[in-house]
Amino acid sequence: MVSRRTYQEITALLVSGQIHAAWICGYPYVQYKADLDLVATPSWHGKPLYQSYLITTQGRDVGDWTRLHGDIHAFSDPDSNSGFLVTRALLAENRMLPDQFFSRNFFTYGHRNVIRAVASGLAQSGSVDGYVWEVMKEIEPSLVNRTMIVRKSEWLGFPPIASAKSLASDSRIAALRDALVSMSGDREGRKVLEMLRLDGFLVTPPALFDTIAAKVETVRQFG
Amino acid sequence: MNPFRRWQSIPVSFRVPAIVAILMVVITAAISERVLDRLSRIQESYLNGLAGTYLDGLSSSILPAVLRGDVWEVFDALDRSSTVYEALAPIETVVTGSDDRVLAASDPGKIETYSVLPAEYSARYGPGNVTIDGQRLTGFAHRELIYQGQHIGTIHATFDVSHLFAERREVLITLLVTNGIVAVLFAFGGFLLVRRMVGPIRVLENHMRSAAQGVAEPISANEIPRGDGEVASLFHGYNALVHAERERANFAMQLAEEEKLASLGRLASGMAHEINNPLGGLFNAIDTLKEHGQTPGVRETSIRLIERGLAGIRDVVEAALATYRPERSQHPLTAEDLEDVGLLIRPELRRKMQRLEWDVVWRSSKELPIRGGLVRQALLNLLLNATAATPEGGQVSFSATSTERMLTIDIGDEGPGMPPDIAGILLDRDPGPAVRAGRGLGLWMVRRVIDDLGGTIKIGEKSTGGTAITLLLPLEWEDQKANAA
Repeated sequence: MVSRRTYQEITALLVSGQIHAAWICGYPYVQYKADLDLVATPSWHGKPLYQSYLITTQGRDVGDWTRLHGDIHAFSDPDSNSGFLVTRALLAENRMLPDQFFSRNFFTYGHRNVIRAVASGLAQSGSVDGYVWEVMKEIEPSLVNRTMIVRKSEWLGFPPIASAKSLASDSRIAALRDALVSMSGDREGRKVLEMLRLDGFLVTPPALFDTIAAKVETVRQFG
Repeated sequence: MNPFRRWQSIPVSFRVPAIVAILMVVITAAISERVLDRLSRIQESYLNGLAGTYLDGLSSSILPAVLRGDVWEVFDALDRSSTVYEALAPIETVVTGSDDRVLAASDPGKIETYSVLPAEYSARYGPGNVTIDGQRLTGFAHRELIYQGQHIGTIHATFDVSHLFAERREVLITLLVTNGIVAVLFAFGGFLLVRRMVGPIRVLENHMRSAAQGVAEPISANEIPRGDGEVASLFHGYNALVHAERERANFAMQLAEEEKLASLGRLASGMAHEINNPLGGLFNAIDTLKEHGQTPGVRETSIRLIERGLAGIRDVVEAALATYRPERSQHPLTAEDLEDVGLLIRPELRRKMQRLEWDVVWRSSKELPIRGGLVRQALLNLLLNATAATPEGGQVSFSATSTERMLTIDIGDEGPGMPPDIAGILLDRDPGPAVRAGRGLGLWMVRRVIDDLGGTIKIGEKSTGGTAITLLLPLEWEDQKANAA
């Protein structure tokens, strides 16, 4: 098992074949779709979908997301869908760049860090994975309750387990997929899923991430 | 009363404990000052070390993040360090970039990221590593972040130092309470010790006071401490003094009695002689009367002789009665009083074959307003002294003159002169040791009489040798008393 600080590092290891499979974000999957295969996608509340949240400090009088103009904003990771791409695409749809809309923005390289940054007041608002925010609300309510949701995005493909396309025929990948998909039927597997607050893993078509691909395109077109 | 005298008037059994307590307070103050000063230095050194460690650790962990301008990494490091360095109790840490704008603060709600650091932060540091603000109970320290010789930012740290002050206060209270208890114990101990030491002195004082009032009692054996040699020695010394004084007093009484008896004996023998002298003549006259009583001329001559002889005896007896009967001492002085004195001294003069030079200038008034009995006693004593001092065949002089306000009497002898201690009985304020030794009791009686009469005594030397005693006795006429009243 290998952990890295940034999405970019994990994606590089995966694409280069140094690791066989990784739990990555939908955004790098879309970016390296040609080199990657989907192994399985987590299912949350019965669907392999999640949302991106724009959050701010609890109790702040905010009507809609446009009131976040001029904030210091915390992003998660430049290769994160929910923690960067969704907000960037939202701004692109409104003909704006993050540096124009926010007074300052920075990356915390972790969804939990985004919540910490907003809760502490280091940033006035942040872009965070909705799944992480909801799970942390159960685990660390004292931290998460110091933030509130300003905007929820549309439902998007849940960060999948992906493998390098070059290993498509590798039996270990198939075994991994089977293990993941059958996890909900296994006692030990259910313990893991309960810890992750997930229902199980599903085999999903690549089209699940088309909405993310569309956001990438929106951003690309706006520049 | 000035404070020094007031202080001296406090009993020593209170003064010594008070001095002990004051000394303890002074010592306590000095020790407390030294201890607190030392503690303060140790605490500052400790705080400097902790702050240095904190800033070293923090600067090495945030240096790359500051170099990148990574707000989150700096904040994350500050956030983690707040729990790691609990001993230092950091209240607030602010990291600024090279442009002095805030990169991150431990409390972003108070100091906003990217804001300009308030000027007070830069102005609050003193010369040392850690600057302590005693009023706000906080300490300040800062550390420049240098990368390859370039200033890339600064760490500004604020610590809670209230525990240091609380520790100092606790130490101070402990010192005060401990030393206070010790001071009270020492003072109480001093009080008991001094009382114990002063106790025997009190016993001695009480005995001496009693002695001053005339009852000199030795200290009883059960009051003499057995263990304390010095006090026991003092008490034994006092007892020896009391015994010696008693013996001396007894001796003096005995001497006085003897003197009195001797004086009376001399007077009595004088008087007997004075009575005996005419007795021979009287018996002769009686024999003459027996044989020739029928002869008228002889009988009358014999009866006159008997009358004169009996009158002489009567004069002597009356003079003695007038002198030694107390109820007669209050009458005013008359010329007869002086003549009686001359009469009473005559046998003694005759015995020693001495002459009396008598010179009395009496005023026209018969009586002088002064108690005659007392004057007679004093003059008789002085004349007896004069005859005793004058050799056989010598001369004793007596002169009396009176003015309106003063009776002056001079008595002279031809003796070798009065010894100073005996003269002191007449002249000095304190009759001195001579009286206590039982000497000069006659003169002491003279002194008391003259004092009683409000007079004064002078002693001089006569040009022809011998001593001259002058008595100056004030006269108080009734009109003077009325005027004075």
